[in-house]
Amino acid sequence: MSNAQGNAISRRSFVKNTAVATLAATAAAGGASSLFGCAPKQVEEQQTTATGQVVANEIPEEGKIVWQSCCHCGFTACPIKCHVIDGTVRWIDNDTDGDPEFGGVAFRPCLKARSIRKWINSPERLKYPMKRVGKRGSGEFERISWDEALDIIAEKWQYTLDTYGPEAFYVCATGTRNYPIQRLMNLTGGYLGTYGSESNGQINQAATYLLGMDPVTFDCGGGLGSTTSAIKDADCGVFFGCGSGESRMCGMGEVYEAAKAREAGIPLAFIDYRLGEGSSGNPDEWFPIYPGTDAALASAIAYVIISEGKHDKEFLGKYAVGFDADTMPEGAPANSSYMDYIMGTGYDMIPKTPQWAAPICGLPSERIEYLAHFIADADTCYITQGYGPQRHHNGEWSAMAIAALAVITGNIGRPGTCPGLNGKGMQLEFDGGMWNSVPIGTNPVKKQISISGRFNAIDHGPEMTALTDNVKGGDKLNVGIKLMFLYEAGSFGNSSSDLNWAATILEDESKCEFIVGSDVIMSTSLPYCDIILPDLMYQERMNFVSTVTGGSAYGFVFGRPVQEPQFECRLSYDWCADLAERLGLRDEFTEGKTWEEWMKIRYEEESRPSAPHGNAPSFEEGLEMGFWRDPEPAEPIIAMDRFVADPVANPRTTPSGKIELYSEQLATIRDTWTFANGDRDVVRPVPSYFPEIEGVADVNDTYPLLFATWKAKNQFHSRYQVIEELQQACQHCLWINPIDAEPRGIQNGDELRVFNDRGEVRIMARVTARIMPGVVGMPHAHRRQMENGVDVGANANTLTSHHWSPISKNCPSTGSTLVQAEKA
Amino acid sequence: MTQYGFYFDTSRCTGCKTCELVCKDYHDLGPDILFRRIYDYEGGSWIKTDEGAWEKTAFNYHLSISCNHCDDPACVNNCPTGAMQKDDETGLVNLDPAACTGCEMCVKTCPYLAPRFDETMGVARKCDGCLARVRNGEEPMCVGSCPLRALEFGPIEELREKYGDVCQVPPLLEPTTKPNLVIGTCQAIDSDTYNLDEGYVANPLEVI
Repeated sequence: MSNAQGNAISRRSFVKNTAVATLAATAAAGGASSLFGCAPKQVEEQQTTATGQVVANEIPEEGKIVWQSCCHCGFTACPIKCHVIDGTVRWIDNDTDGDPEFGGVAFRPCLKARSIRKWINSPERLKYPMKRVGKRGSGEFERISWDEALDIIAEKWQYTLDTYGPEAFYVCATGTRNYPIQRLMNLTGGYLGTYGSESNGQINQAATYLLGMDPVTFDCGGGLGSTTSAIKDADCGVFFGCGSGESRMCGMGEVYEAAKAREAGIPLAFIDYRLGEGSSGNPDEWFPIYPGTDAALASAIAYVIISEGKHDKEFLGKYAVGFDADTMPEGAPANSSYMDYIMGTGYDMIPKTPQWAAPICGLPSERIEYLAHFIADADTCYITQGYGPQRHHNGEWSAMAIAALAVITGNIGRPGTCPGLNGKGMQLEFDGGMWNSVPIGTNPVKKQISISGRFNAIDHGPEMTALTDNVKGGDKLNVGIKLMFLYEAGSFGNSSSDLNWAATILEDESKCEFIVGSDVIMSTSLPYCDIILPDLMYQERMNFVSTVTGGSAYGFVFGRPVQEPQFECRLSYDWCADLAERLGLRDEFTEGKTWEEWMKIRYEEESRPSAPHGNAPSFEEGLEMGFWRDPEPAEPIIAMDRFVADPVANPRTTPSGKIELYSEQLATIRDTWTFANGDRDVVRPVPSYFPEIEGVADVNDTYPLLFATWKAKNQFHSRYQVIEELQQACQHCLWINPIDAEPRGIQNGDELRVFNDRGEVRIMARVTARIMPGVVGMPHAHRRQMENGVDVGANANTLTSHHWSPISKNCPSTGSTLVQAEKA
Repeated sequence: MTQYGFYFDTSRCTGCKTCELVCKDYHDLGPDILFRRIYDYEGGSWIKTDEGAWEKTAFNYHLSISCNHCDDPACVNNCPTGAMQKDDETGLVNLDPAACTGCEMCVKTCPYLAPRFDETMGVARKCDGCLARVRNGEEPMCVGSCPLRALEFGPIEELREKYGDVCQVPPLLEPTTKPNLVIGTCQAIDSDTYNLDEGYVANPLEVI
């Protein structure tokens, strides 16, 4: 290393002598005692080739530390320690002061966050306001000024308000975040609301009917159960459709909690159509079933448990109605209890034996019996589900049937349990979420549609009613969506199902007359916009985010800008204020406050008091720290603990106040609604199975493969996809089992065409035994790229169906889709 | 000299590739140069049962492999200019780019693909174990970034004492260069259920 040592002063050091001097002084003051007992501390090194080129694996300078967060992925939010040099991020580190030992608390983000500097300054970022000049979807735009853009928007806003009223306004924003534009809309009369989300629409409603919520704490809201960390007090854990190795993959996420349990000797079972990364190296944990058949498996598990008398009779008697004839509500028909469905004494009169379920779900009956004993023979079993099982046409019933297993075994409300719902993220509050925001106020428009209904509402809004489309807050819509804001809505063009159909609706300018997009990088959605506004990167503004973890720690990121705003990009709060001025509402919109002042108020009023140990820093202290990690150990959050401790004092929001294995509300829905999918929309008042459209029961010679998706490791809703390094590291492939690949002559790496009547994509094959025979799948939300009617970018939703679920009217967007695959 | 090396736990690794991307960020490598590769090794078979269900022996595990800073390094032994060398104090194998002529002997002879030829620079590039960080008393970047804590770095004798001396599992070849690597095995490797011989690297384009 003599050369490098001789060259210890870098090019940058010559330029920035002061920085080197400072660092050298720091090193000396610190004593530089080496962890590994090696040479004295080096400041930095520089390596050059013989021709004088700088080899880049130099040791970069420390630079200035600025904390920020990576907060796109929805269920985890990670702090990143940015080393800023010459006014921009040079490299990213993680929470280096945490406990590095396995099991310890240290916030270690995933590969996406660690690549973020290539996102922040991507050559593809939006730079200026733009106006559409070609037809919708063509992607032809011209640069305009901010004044012109805001003038156009203000004019269209007023026109839409005068012509159609506030119900014609709509905001499509990624996730459930609140945005300044919603605050402004609320000031001009409101906008058509949505319930649910593409992630969890089905489980959200299913949980409400089966388990209800706590009216005070709202626990089980959103289909969220206990934190995954609760598993530490269980004897075993069962995970239905949990891809946490891909979706909650950071060092404080669910995947870490599961790994800790495994190493503590707690046996785990993962039920999924693919061997996910959470079980990498541990394939015994995998119990494969076909997509959309979770309820069949859960019913068969229940059959074994009940047949052997291993259900928790005491728990059921005290906390639930509808298990058997003894606890049925008055007036319910005979033989209509949950037990009647399971044992075959009611409904379809089929006993849900393991032999019945085996050919449906593809899992051998003895494995089903094994799972039943795995769950029932443990004192405490942690039962949870990801969002995959419920993202189906029959997803509400998958969600309920899984949760029913926790009910009948009494694995609810005590340490080590989860009521069969999704793993709740641990976070501090921030305006009801984890992201920074201004308060959006109250929406005067009370009508809501399901989030999947937005294309329907653009296409034929006035035909949508309460009894056919589950319109809430009114009998029907009076007007379709006419003015829409797509705010960071990569999801609009990505996680919505049947995108070719959706595109035809957006292309028709007579339907939604005016669409504004605000984003940072051109997304699949933006070509359909009439005006595009360039936003600041999160990392370019004061960006307050609560960390979200699997339940072992609380933290908060007081993010400050890592660089100056670039080009003509503007903070959305600021341009919304300018738009408010054009509408005569600036003072009402800002209340005289800057973004920073709102951040302080929201933090001090919402987040700081929500810290469970009362030790969160003040706003000013937090800004100084950049990142606060609660030093106190975090205890798991146990769903329904208040109810189980005292069911009389803390009833659920269900009509009976108890868990409802028989729901009269569902019986009423069955009897009064009209269903879009006719006989294929099955509604029963008990957790049960029915075959989804385009599921195992519909496999045919033309489209013989079940199609499914999971969350990509390297992007979310196509965000970060511009980062070449991430694309190289995790290549977009269609997983196909060797049994399906061989007769098609498909080998690893072949280019495939995957298609059905809705569309066609081109994608590379990954031939792998990690996916069940008869099932193919890919990470969802890869950026759609149309060439001659074929999606060569291979977005899964070019293929997925719009068969929405019977009750929550949520689209599958991950299943309920049949395809064929062949070599291109 | 105290020889340093890596420990890698196949039971913990989820193949997330954070280590790989952290290395790229810190060393500013761009998409085409990898100092750390994550192999997806998988295989197994499926048989349909009489009741129409499936029995399987499918398995997978990952290997995150960088330079193994071998005791008998092929890259150093075959380097005609002495550009590739072992650090006197740590045994970490590193390259003096000023002395590298780009002959690619190291690229051709390393059994672990650790040195790669950088077309733009005209020299070989490889993991040096973040030597300068190690001299500063810090760990290599990849180690402290692993969300699952599947990587460790330290004096190889200490790692072997703690974790044993397995340094080869498929798809790695039988060692010929005395690698300073310790591999923690997993159920997929240890259990008789799974036939590792029928496995393969499923992501060849990701480990260029």
